[in-house]
Amino acid sequence: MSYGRSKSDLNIEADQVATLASLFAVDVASEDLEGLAAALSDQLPSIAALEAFDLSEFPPILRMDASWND
Amino acid sequence: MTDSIDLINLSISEAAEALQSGATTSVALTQATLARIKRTEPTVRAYAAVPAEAALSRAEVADLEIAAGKWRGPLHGIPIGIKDIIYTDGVATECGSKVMEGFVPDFDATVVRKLDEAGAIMIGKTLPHEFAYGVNEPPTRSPWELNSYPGGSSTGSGVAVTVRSAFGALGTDTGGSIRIPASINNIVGLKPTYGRISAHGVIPLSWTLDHVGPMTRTVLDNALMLNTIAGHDPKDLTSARQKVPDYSAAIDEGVHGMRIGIDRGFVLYPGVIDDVRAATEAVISELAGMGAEIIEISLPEFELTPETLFTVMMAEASAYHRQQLREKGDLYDPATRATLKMGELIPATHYVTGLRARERYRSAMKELFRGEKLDALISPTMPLPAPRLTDLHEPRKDMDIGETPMVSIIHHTFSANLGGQPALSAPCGFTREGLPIGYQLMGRPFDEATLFRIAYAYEQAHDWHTRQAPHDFGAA
Repeated sequence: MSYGRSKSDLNIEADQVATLASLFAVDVASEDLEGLAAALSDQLPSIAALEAFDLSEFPPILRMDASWND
Repeated sequence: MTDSIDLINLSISEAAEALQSGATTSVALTQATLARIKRTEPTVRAYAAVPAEAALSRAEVADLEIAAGKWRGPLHGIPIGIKDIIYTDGVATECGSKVMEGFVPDFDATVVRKLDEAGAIMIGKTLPHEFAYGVNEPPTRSPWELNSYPGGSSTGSGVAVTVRSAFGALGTDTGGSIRIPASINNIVGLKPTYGRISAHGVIPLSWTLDHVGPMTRTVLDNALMLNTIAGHDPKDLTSARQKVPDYSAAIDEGVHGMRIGIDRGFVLYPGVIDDVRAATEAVISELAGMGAEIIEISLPEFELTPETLFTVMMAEASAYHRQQLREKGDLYDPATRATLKMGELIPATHYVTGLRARERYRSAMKELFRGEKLDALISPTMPLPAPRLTDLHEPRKDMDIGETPMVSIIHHTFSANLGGQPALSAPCGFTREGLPIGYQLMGRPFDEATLFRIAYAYEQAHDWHTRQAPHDFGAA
């Protein structure tokens, strides 16, 4: 599984995923841990691409309103 | 009365005219559509369910009403497909998933109720990717090339409209799921403004990114469908209160004086293949020849869109499925299940950063449209035609850009979901291999009418939209 464009050197290990999944009560079969670790290694660094932009003036959207009324 | 081959090739507007004039009947249209479904389904499998008897009963009622002078509008008596993540009262809604097997809603989604009140005939439920997520492989096949991706997640809707087993269909679009199958299947697909069409009764994928919209064979048909299904719904907290105009009223007024922007650096990036690049440039030249002004723009925030959308969508989808994943996890397709689990492991701080990045993108887009006085932005809908199914998640073989075809496919579509702006895909040619190419227009919020005007002007000068898939579906 590959989602997003990001590739980084971040190397999330299977046992880290197992710990995280256990904390969040996500049931991950042992044979799926490696794949999920690889996918997260690709996905999680993508936040750096967003933080490369200055977001200081932009609070999060809490309710989506498509109109451009100021 | 026209024969069945002629009937299935009518557009919605042509069929409506034939119904009003008495040249055909809704029963004849419905029977012809059911016959077409019987012929095409063994090859393409666009439908999850086809309630034929109910459709014919509705068609009989429509004929009586029309004969009595009670014509309800251009969708009265017209067979329409409904994506199978949209609730239909008394008809199974299974979302392309074993998780939902046997689920029968006891009410219609608002958008289905509006179609019903307009007299449309629900001809069937069209197959989606599982829960519209776009990560599993649905059973639907493309009539353009059986081994190629049929588009998604409104997979069955796109295929049904192109093979003439529905006159139009409803799709949903969270990152391109109406426009991508529209482009791949040589039809017109509109993702309207966020909140323009009610999402009540539609299984969510990502609450802040989901849109319902029409998929049709022509631009006019798309406008007619939007006229019917748009509007405020108190049952949907995200529903917009803006007035609904007549989207077909000014559709033929041309593009003279319009300002259409293009960010060549982003939308014609190296991942765009030559045939798509040439087709897009041809559309731009033609619109310029019709009197539109083409404005070169640059919006760095486009680069935010893939990571922002993935972060927001994955977190929201996993939140929606959280409980169900624990109760029925083994019933999900393995690819969907893995993606949902991954979404649960995305930190909340990343989700909030995604929402902030989204606001920056929206702000920049608004300033761009206002500063440049733009009417629309133009791009290819997809950088490449439908890839082969076996290549979808492998690195692209045609160029070394570090993307899979699946990632390339959504390069141009994500931005309109983030901004909530309307975006329309329409046909603009074919590759050397004969696969359809679509172009995309993105507009100001609640200004779908301008997109229809531009797309209609271009469509009048071409016959791309009339061309059908080469598959003959066996003997008639």
